Amino acid sequence: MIRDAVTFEVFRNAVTGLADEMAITVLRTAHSQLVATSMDFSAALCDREGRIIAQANTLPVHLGSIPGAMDAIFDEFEGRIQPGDIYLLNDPSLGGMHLPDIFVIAPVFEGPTLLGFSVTVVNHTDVGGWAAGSMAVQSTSIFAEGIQIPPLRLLEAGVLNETFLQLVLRNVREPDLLRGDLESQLAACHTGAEGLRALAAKHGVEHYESLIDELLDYSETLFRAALAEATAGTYEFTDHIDDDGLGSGPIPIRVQVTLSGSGIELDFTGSAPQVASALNATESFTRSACYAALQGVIPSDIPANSGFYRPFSFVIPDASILNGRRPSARGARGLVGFRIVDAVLGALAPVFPGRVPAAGDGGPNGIAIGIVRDDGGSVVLWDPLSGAWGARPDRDGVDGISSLGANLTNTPIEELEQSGYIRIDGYGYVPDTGGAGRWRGGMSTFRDMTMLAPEASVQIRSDRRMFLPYGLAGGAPGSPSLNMLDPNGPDERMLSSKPQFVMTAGTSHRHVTAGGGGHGDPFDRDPDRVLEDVLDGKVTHAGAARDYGVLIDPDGTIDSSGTSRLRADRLEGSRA
Amino acid sequence: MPGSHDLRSSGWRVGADIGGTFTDVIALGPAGEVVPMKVPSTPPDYGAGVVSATMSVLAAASVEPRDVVAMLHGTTVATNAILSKNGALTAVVTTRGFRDVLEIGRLRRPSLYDLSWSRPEPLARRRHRYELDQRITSGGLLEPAAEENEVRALASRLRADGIEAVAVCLLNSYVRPDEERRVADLLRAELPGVYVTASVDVSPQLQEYERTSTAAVNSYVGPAVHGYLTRLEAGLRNEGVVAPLLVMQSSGGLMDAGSVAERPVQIIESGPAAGVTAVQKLAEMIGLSTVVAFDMGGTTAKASLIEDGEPFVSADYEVGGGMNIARGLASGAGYPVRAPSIDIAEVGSGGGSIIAVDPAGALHVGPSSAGSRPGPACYGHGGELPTLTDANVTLGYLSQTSLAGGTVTIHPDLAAKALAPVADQLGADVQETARGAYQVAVSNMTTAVKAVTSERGRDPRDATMVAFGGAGPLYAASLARELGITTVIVPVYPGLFSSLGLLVADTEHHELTSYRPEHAELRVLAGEFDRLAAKVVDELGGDAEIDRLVDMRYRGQRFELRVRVPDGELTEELLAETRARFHAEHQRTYGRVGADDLVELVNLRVRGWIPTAVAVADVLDLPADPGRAAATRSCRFDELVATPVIGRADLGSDPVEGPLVIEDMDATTLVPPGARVFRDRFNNIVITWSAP
Repeated sequence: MIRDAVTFEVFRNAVTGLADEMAITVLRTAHSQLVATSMDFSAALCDREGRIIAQANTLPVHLGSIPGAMDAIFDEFEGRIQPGDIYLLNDPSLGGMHLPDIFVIAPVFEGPTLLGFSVTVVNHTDVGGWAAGSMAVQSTSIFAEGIQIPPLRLLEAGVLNETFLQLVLRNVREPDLLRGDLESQLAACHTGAEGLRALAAKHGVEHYESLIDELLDYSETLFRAALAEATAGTYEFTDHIDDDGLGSGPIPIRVQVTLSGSGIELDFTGSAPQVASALNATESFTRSACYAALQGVIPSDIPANSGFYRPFSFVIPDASILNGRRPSARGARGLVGFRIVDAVLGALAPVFPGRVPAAGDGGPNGIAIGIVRDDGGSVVLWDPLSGAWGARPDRDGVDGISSLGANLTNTPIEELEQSGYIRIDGYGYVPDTGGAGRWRGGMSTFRDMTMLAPEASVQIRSDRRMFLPYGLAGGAPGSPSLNMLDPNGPDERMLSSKPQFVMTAGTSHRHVTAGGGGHGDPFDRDPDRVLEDVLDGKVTHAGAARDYGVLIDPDGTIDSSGTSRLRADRLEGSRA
Repeated sequence: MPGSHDLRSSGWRVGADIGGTFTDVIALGPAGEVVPMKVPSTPPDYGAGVVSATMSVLAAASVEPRDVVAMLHGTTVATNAILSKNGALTAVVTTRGFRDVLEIGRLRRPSLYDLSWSRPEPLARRRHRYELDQRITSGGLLEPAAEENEVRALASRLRADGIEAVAVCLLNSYVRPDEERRVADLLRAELPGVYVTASVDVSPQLQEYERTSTAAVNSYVGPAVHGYLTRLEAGLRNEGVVAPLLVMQSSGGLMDAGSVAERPVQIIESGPAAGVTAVQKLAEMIGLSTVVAFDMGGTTAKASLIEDGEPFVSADYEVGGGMNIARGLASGAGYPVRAPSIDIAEVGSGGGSIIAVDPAGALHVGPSSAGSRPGPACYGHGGELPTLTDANVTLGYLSQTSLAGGTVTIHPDLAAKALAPVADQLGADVQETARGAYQVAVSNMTTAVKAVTSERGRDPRDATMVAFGGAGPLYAASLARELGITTVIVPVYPGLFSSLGLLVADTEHHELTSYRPEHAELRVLAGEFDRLAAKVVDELGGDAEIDRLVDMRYRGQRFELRVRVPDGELTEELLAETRARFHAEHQRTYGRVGADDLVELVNLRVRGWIPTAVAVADVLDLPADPGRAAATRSCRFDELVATPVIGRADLGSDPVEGPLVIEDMDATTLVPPGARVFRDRFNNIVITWSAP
C-alpha cells in the first residue's frame, strides 16, 4: 500500500500529467482531420511488464486494449527489446483492434534498464483496402480491409526501416496524412520516454517501480471498495445490433455480470457468433469496452490503470462477434464496442439505479467519403456524427454529445466545405426524438449534405434503426437513426443503416442519429420542463400531449386542467 | 479617437484591479511616488468600489482628481456576467439549417467517464436562435443573399421577444464579411438600443461553432460591460477625474473604454493578463529574456511564459469552464472564445485549497477551496477544514499573529486543530502532514509550469521565475527547485502586482483576417496587411508601432504556430523567410519539421501598440515596512530550524544563506535551506539555487 503519501501523490501527478502531455503532442502535430480535429487517438504509459501506469484523457474504448497490444509485443520481441526500437502493429489477431488503429510503442531505457513503454494508438485516415477509410461494414475478409501489420520494428536500435515504411505508404490512399500522423505518434512516444526517464532518475529505479506498484494497488483498492458497496448477484442484459450490413441480423450481445464481494465477472456466453461483415471485435476491444462502462458507473476519480483492471474476469466466446477469428473482417468493430457498453450498463442499471443512464445514440456513426482526383490521388473525408446521451436518473440526457465509449468531435462544417467536394445543407436537432421520460433522453441530430464532386463513394456505419436506445424505469426508447437520399426531393429514398453507395454531383443525403432513451414515467415529468422544451422546439405541441400528457396552449402556456385530465385519463386507461 | 489614450504625458496614473474579494488600487506619481490600497470589492456594483478607492488613494497622495492623466483598469465584469449567468437576453441569427450550431458545439466533454456531466447552458436559448433564408458558399457566392424584408421581419420578432443583444453569425461569413455586416447593420437600424455583434467583427475566421460562440459571448456580456464602463466613467467624472479610462485586454495591452464596449470579448482575461504584463515590463528592465511568471492567490496558481520579452499569446480559449490546464484535451467545459489571450495555465492550488486524505490513503490538496468565507481555519472565521494557509502557519512559514499588515488575525491553534484529523489518517504528526501538503501543492503547480514550457518544447531550466500573488512568494523557491530553475525574483508589492501591471502596460490593438485563396497573389496579400494596419492606425493613431504576424501550420494540422513577418516590403523572399521562421519554431516546439510545400497560412494578423512612458522602475521603491515582533521563528523543513524573520529592507545586496522568512505587507517570501538570497538595486528579492 501507500508507504509515503506525499511521494505517492507527487508521482501520481507526474505520470498522469505525462500521459496528457503525450496526447497533447499528438493533437498539436497530427496532420489528419480525424486525429487533429475529431481526436480519434489515445496515449498511455506502461511499465516494463506492459501494465498501464497512466492514460491520457483521450478515447475510452482504445485505452483498455493496450494490455493486449503489449502482450503481442512481448510474444514477438521478448528478450530482444533494445533501446531505440519502435514497434508498430495493427493486426487484430496479433494485438491490434482494426487495421486503421495503428499502435506505436516505444520501449524506454535508462542505460541497460528497461523502465517501461510509451504507447500511442491513432485511428489513421486510411490504411488501404477496397473502401476509402478502410472501415467499411461490407468487408468480408481482413484481406480486403487494408495493410496488415503484425508486431514489427519501424525503428531498430534507432535505425529507421525505410523499406517497411515505404511499403506501408504505398498501400494507403493518403500517404502524406499517414506519415504525418505516424510522426506525431513518434513525437509523443519521445515525450513519454523523456518523462519516464526523468521520473526514474528522480526516485531511483527501485523506488520508481515500487511507486508504480502502489499506484496500481491504489486504483484496485478504490475500485474493489466501490464494487463491495454494490449488491452481489448476477445481472443479465441483452442488447442488439440491428444487422451486419449484408442482410443478416439481428446480432444479440448478451452479458451476465456477476458481482461477488469485490470482484466482477462479465460472461458474454449467448452472444452472436462472428458475422460475415466487418463488425467483429477482438477480445482486447471487448474488455476495453467493459472497462469503460464500469468507469462510467463508479466514482470517476479512480485513476485508470492496470490495477483498475484486476478485479475483472471475463468469459468471451471464441469466434463470436466479440472475438472474431482470423481472417474475419474488423473495420467497423467500433459499433460492437458501443453496444457492449450499452449492454453492460443495462445489466448494471438495477445495481446502480442512481447512476446508470438510459441508452444513448449508440454511436458515433461514421460517414466516409472517398473521392478519386483527376491526378489519380485519393481524398478521404471523415464525418463522424454523434447525437445524444440517454436520460440520467436525476436529470435529462445531453443533447449533442459523443457517447461514453468515445469522445469524438464533429468536423467543422466550414472545413468540410472548404474541400470543395461537399456542401452541408443543415445540421441540427430533430424535435420529438429524445426518449420521453420523467427525464428526457437527448435529441437526434440531422446532417444534410449535397455532393459537389462529380462522383464519390460513400460508406456509412450506423445502427439503432430497429433496436432503439432503451429507456429505463418506464422511460420510452429514443428514436431511430436514418439514412435518406434526396430528402424532401422527388427521388427521396430510404437507405439501410449501413449503406455503401455512390453519390454523383448534385445528389443529397440526410443522416439522422438515434435519440437517447428516457428515464422514468414521462407522465411524471414536470409540466414546466415540457413547456420549456416546447418553447425551444425540442418537443412539439403534439408530442407534449402524446408523449407527456401535457397540453400547451397556442400562447405558450400550460393548460393545467387539460393536462390534469389527460394525465388522469391515462391512469384510468392503465387501470382498466 | 486617435491619440486620446496617449500614455506618454506625465502626471498621476491610477491602476485599479478588481478581484472577487479585493479591489487593488495603486497610484503612481510623475516623480515615481507610489500609493497602494486594498479595499473589499463591492458587488454587484464593482465600479462604486473603484471610484471610492480611487478617491481615497488620491486623497492620501494629496492629488487633485483633475491631475490624473490615465485611469487604467483590470476588470472581471465580463467573466462575472458569464459565471453568474446574468448577461443579456441574447439571440443568434444564422443561416437556414444551422440554428443549433451554437448548442451542439463540438460534442466533446471535458471528463471522460463522468456520466452525470451536463453541458453549460447555451448563451442563446434555442427559441432565441433564428434562421435566415440565405447562404454564402465556401467560394464566397451569395446563393441567395439575405432579403431585406426578411431581416426586417426578423427584427420585429426580436423586438417582440424582448431581445437585448444579437449575435449574427452566417455560415461561411468569413469569406463574405460584407454580407454578414449588411445583416447586422439592418438589425441595428431596426433595433435601436439592442447590442448587435457581427461574428466577423470579433472573429473573422473559419470554423462556424467557434466563431458563433465568440460572437455570442461578445453579445451576452456586451450590455453589461457597456453599462459598467459608462457608469464607472460617469462616477469618476462626478468626482472630477476626467482622464481617459483604459481597460486591460486578455492579450496584455490596454484598450480605450469605447472600443472595449464594442469588443468586450477581448477583456475576458483582463485581470490575469495585467500580472503577466507587469512581469514582462520587469523582465525588460532587468534584462531577462526568458521568464516564468508564477502567480498564486487564494484559490488557484497560474503560470505563463515570457520569451524574448514577449508573453505567449494564444488564439483561443474557453471561458467559464474552470481550470484550463489540459488545454486541447479537456475541451467542452466552457464557452470557446477566439480572441488573443495571454496563454496562462492554471491549477487549483491556492492558499485556501483544502487538504484531504481519500479512503485509499492518498493525500490531496485542492482543487476545492475554502474561499474567502469561511477561509482558512486559522483566520478564525469558522472554517474547520485544513487549507494550505493553515499548513503554512503550522510550519512556521507564515506569521503566528497576523497577516496583511495586521488586518487578518492568525490563530495557529485552529490551524493545528484542523490538520489533526488528516494527520491521524496518515499516521503522521501535524507538522509532517503540513509539510507533506506543502510538497504536494508544489508538485501540483509544476504541472502548470510544464504546460507552458516543456509541453511547448521549452526547458524551464532556461527561465528565471518571477513570483507574485499573495501566496506565490511562499512557494516560488521550492517550485523553482523542483523544476530546476535557479533564480527566483520576488518584486516589490508582490500581492498588488497585477494592478502594478496596469500602470506600465502599453496601449494595444489587434486586427486579423483569415487567409483566403486570393491571398496567394503577393500584391493582394500585401494589400490585406496594409488594410489591417490602416485599421490599427485608425484605432491607435499614426505613431503606433506595427507588427505583421501570421498563423501557420502544416497541411492538416489543427493547431497553428504564430510567427512574425520580417519588417520591410512584402516579397517572395520575405515570405520564404517567414516560412523558415515557422519551420524553426515547429522544430523547437515539437522537435521536427515538415516539408516546405505543406506550410499553410491560416490567419493574417496585425498588432499595433503605443509604448507606455512609464518604466516599471518608477514603482520599485522600497515600500514602508510594517515591522515585526519576532526575530526568529521555528520553521519546519525536513526538520525544525530556527529561521530568521526579516523585512525586505533588512535584506542586503550580499547573498545570505537560507532559511529565511521575508515579510512584506502583502506577502511572505520563504527562502528554504540551501538557497541564497539578496536584494537587487530595484529592491527585488532575488533567490538563487546552485544548479542541481
